[in-house]
Amino acid sequence: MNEKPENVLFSLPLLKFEGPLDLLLHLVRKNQLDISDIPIAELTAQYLEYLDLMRTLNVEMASEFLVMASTLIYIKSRSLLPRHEGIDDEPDPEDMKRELSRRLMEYEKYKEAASQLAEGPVLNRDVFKRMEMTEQDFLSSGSLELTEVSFADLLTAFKRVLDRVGGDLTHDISIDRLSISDAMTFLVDRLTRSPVLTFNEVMDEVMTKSEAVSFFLAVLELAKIGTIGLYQAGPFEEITLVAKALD
Amino acid sequence: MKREEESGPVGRLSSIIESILLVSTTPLTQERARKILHHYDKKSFDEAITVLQNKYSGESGILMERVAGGYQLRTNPANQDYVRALLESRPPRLSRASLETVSIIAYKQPITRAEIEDIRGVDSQGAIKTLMERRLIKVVGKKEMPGRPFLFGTTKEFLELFGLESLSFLPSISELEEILGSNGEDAGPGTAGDESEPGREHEGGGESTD
Repeated sequence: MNEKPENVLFSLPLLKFEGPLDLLLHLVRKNQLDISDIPIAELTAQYLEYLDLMRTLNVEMASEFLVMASTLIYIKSRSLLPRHEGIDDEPDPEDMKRELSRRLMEYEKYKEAASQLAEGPVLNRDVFKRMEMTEQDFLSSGSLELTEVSFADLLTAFKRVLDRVGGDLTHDISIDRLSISDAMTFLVDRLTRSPVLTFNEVMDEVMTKSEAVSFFLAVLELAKIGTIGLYQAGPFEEITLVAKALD
Repeated sequence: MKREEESGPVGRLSSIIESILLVSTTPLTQERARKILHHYDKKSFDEAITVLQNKYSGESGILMERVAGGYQLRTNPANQDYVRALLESRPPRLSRASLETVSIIAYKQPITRAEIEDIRGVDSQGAIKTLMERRLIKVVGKKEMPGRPFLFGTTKEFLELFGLESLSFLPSISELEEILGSNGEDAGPGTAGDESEPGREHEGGGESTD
């Protein structure tokens, strides 16, 4: 069980190659071939073997893989044929081989550059800074045409919430009513984590009419004291709460 | 805004800069800071920066880093797990295709899509689109050739994402070659990029593809 299965299974994780150069580079390095003087016949055989494997396993293959296969085969077959000096305007197989070496070495450098980049401290993965999404960023992001919300718009949105939670009057047994300041604290807390919330996201929390009222008044209060701004993209669009300065 | 008296002590100045850094969402450049604090001379300014750099270094939970041509307060990478837990965020993912593409652009900008694809040997339109959307690259012009293709370059956001002060802080091509030369296939972490060198070398070869 513990024995490594030959080749095929073992190479499965490696099947994801970015392109033909990536695959060729892998083969060159795996077999410790000389990158500056590639043994074309050997490399071609291995390359085609891999393509076969990919086909067998139904791995999606970019057309570039096939183009490279034909290039390799061309170089290989041409280098087997005697050369006809002078009357030959086809590219010289030795030149093509050198060009392939050059491309592989070039590609390897940038592959290495990419892995160096990924190893460094990446923002929001290894290091963090002050979060960016302020009201201004949100407004200047330009993805939405936003206008400030009128009180009537808010009431309309609120009415929809009441319609949804309505009819709970006979079931109001909770003693712990949510106060407005509790609702405000809750909202500020949520806005600290994500500075942009839609009105509906807020009201999704609501279970009862009295909570809906608390949240609604909390939104009004926060808007009044300038903690949030209220915007919408157009009449009857979603109302969005945007955190201003939270401390 | 209330102005401090001329030649305030360095302590006062570093206090002000500290506050500005805390609030600033983008790296604070020298020019920007000196504009706000124009009544302080350069010498006390530099001293104040040094004070802060010493304060926010080592094991401090907040580090003052040079990023994208400015100063920025960042969390200490040693604490990353806890910060991530607080934010409940998933770390940003960059595919290998995007990483390779943005690396090529970083070193060879301005560069066209065809030139990128020539190096990678594979279609890179998707990667370019993703990088554009994430604002890590931008169109910096058009190449004077038939079809006038777009030329791409990296952005400040790119420098911020990878914590680079400037492009010259990328490992130079010769450093990369050294890493590859020394351990063949898979290069280890290495220490490249720490000790900055003033300029990065472009590739020597007079290659003029296309």
